[in-house]
Amino acid sequence: MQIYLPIAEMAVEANSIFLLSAFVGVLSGIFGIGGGFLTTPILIFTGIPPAIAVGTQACQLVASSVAGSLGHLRRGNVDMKMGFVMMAGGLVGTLIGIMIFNLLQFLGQIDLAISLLYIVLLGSIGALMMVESLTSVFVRKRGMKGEFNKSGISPLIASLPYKMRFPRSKLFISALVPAGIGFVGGLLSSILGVGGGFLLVPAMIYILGMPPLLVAGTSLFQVIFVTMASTIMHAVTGQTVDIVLGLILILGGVAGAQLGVVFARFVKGYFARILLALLILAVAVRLCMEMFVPPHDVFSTMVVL
Amino acid sequence: MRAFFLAMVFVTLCGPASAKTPPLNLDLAQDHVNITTGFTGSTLSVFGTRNARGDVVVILEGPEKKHIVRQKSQVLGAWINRAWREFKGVPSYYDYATHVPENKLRPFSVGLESLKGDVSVDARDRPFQDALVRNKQARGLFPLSAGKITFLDPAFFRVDFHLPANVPRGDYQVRALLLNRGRIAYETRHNMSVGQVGASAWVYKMAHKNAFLYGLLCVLVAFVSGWLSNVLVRR
Repeated sequence: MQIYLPIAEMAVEANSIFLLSAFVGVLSGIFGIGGGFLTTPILIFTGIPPAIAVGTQACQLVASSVAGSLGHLRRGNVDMKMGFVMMAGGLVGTLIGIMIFNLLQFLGQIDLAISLLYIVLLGSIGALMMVESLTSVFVRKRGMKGEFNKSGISPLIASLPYKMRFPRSKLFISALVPAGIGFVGGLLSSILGVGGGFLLVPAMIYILGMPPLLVAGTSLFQVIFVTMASTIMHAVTGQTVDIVLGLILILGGVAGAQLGVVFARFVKGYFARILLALLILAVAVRLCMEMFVPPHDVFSTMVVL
Repeated sequence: MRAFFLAMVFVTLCGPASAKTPPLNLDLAQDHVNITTGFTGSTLSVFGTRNARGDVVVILEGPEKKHIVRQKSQVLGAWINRAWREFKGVPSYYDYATHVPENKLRPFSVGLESLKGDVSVDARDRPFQDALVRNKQARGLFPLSAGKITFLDPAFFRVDFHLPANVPRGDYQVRALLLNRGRIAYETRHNMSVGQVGASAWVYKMAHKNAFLYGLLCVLVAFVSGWLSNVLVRR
């Protein structure tokens, strides 16, 4: 079923887009990862201009992060104060990210920037996941091998100013650290059309030293606001948010996520994670190939509005 | 006497058309191409009459826009956009139909060759000019060759232009030229427009005129969807 996208000014196969976003939604329901970093590159593969893919995906991520965080909120697994500090950094990061994004578009280098960043991102996440799942297959778990290593805050971080108390996480740490983490998250989120969770979660655990229970909910909290800001800023500065495409993605994403939660209990831990790691690496390889393989046409034409 | 009479008949039949009947006339099946939600392209039918001698060319041109052509070259193995040229006043969409061979059209700034721009420019610009036409052809916005004119009788013709799904919106112009003895004997035009109607138009307008509100609306829709999906599952 072909649907005409008013902002992208092109017709797309609605069923394929729905299935794509549902598939990624299922993965996010099973593994708890956002899925933005898979959906955006694949949308670009299908011919949707990168600017529209990133802007519209930001909108979809609002929906999926709201859906994901309600459960955590209900159980009270969110450190609101930490979330707000991170969010402050995140909003600034989003603003600067959008400016960089628009500059790259103007220079005609947005494809390159997105490809490079995604290759690095997906390559490292895929590789890490691969290593982690393979070692858990071959190495017998001695005690809680997967437990997070809390060895205390490094002296560098402890020396930073503007210390604040975060009662829920039982931390006394410089506000610059969570704000900085939020800043990088916002930057990546607005340029790549991702949620940022994959960066925030390990950063919150290893750099901040937050209790793991609070991490998921708090990072989702921050992602909601950053993606909201990202959507609005993309819409205002570039008119690249297509609500029709967004609706298809949202419907697919939430349907898939609910399905994924159901599937989660049937999925064998390491095997599924290996498959997911392979998928992520495959997307990274594909992006890499596109950069180094001689293009079909060395020339490309763009209309300047 | 008979010669004079024959001469008069001859002059009347072959002389220039009278003021009442233009040498060339044209009309469109529709003045507006509506892009709706399920738009997958449209056919624009053009009808015309020819009342004088000459060859007919019918041209469909979309709004003129600035185009940038970028060239990739290898930097450390990776293909990156580097050199670029800017082209002003290029039609965002172009199509034409005629029944004469392409080489006859060259003097009149019509057809594929004319889209490439001036030949007299720097030779280094040539690849960019060729690429402009090639890229637009690949997207279906420039024709690969001249389209067909169907003459139902020597004085009545028809052209069907097939507009793709990604046809740019804006004000278009259909031009018909009558070519006789190496010059343009007559030219007539008809305006047309391509635009979204209905919901698509509303969305497009809001996204461009009230971007902030539009952004808020998108966020609201997303927020509510996420909330609902969570709540519904609880049940």
